[in-house]
Amino acid sequence: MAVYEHTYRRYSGPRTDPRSRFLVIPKYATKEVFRSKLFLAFFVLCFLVPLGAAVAIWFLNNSTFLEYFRALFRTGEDFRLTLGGGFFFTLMSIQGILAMLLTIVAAPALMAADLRNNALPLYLSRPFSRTEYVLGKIVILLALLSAITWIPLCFLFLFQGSQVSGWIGEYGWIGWSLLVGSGLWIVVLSMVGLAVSATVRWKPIASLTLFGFYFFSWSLAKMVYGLPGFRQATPWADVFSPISSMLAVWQSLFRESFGPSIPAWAGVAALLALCGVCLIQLGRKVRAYEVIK
Amino acid sequence: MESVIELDALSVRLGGRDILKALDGKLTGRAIGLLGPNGAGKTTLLHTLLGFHPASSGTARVFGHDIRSEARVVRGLLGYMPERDAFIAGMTGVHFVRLMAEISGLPSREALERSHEAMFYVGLGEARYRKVESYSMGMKQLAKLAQGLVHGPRLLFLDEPTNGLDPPARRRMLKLIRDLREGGETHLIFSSHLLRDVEECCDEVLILRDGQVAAYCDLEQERRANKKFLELEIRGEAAPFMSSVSALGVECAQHSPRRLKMVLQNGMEVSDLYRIASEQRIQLRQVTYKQDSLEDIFLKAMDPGADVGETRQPSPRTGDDHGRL
Repeated sequence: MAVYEHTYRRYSGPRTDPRSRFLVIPKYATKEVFRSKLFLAFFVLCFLVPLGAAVAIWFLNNSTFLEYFRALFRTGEDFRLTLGGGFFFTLMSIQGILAMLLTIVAAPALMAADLRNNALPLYLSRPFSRTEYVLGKIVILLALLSAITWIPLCFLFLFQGSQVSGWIGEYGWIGWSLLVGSGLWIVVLSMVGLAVSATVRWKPIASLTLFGFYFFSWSLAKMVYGLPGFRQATPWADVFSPISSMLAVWQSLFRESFGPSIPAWAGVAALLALCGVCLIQLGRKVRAYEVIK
Repeated sequence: MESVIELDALSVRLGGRDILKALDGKLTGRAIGLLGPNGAGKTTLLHTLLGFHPASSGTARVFGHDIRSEARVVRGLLGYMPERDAFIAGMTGVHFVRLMAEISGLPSREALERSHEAMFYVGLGEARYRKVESYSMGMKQLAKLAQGLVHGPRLLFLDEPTNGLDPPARRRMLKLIRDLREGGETHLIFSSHLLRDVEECCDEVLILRDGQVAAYCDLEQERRANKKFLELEIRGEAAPFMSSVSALGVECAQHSPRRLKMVLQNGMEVSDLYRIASEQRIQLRQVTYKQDSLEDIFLKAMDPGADVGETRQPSPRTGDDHGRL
């Protein structure tokens, strides 16, 4: 198939390792995702809170600043802010919500266009499976969401640990909480994002559906809890809201309590069940051709 | 001869309906046409070979590899140009083809090189940096062809490749398909409704009807056989001419004083007829090959009274069968 000869010839050169072939998809899709300036701007904004937190950690561990602060606000000599579970829970919640908004923007572009333009037969007619296709797509989301959740938060954790001797020994569990809490949330967000993207094939509608799903389910759970007959100690309606379920898990992981919530195990079970439903939906939708009965 | 596809009682059931019903056969040609009316099962057969639909019973082999147990190996040998519009939005033509090459396992550099070559080969060299969604219908068809052959498949599935093309684009597509066939580097399965396209490009034809093999025809042998059946218009004494050619083993029949029909035997050429005619001072005013067109074969296969599963074995004809099945 040389350009000058204009004749077809077969390919007999080397082939890539089939196990890593799914990484071709994120290689191309990442370029597409970052092509949008709006998305790029939002992605950069997601680092502002961790950046601010890093500055805060530095100031709060700086003796000159603390003396100035005490003089300014006339606080006692024993005044000292201790960074613990509450601080990282707050950061986790903020980054978690930003991660959700990022998924709402980025996820629909990943599969909806392929399905709308019948690109799946092109992928699946090659030595490339449906699992590899989904894996390739989910890797993009996992990488993007990791970049704004556990990676900066773990950096902050280590930064705080480097400022105060013995802090990591006392608060080492926060590191695991950050990894587990972020990991579970980004998996849920990615699965839901891809499932909606595969189901609703028009990008803006898919984004709206995702937005509606998270906020409507959260509002509904709160509304049910607010009803006279349902006001009880455990707001079980929260299992239908991924946001509430995740908050319950984070509260447990960071040893904080901000009002009534479902038990952590119920939150984890609800989120895993949601992932299962998304997997089933992806299995139904990610096919070369749908059989119409 | 190496078998390209072997069908072994292949059945496919989709949506509660039997779409393919125990297909049997062995296809060996360089370019195999797949014909049949709408709903005959042509596309389902291609999709089943690609592993898109599971076989409900039986199996098939592509170059000896079982589609059920070696699906990944089989797909590694294939290229596929789907019938419907299929592309990845937001990509230029060359990036789209390169992505497909990399998914097929070509390293990035080789994929880039071959994607440029493929785009030039199909005639989209100048448009390769345009977004695929901005291509015209004909250009999209060519881009689909480019992605189907960029990774150098041994067997290329072309599902209705001339659909929606204007006459120049159709001619271009058919020329590319003939080039691919004549290049001898790849085998082709050409699924189409258009008999003429198949006749132009293929050397074997499998006709499906209602999910069953209605007829199989080796067009190459058919063409060779057709060359032996002649209609002659002569001027002069027919009887001595007929007796002379009959003495050489040619079957001959006279339909009118000036019109003869004859079936040449192996080893005999039309030039021999001219020589005999010259010796006997007979004028040959017209010599016509009696063609048995693919349309005749197709219509016969579609005849509700005809048994499905007929395999056409090309054979010398008699003067009575008028070249028909």
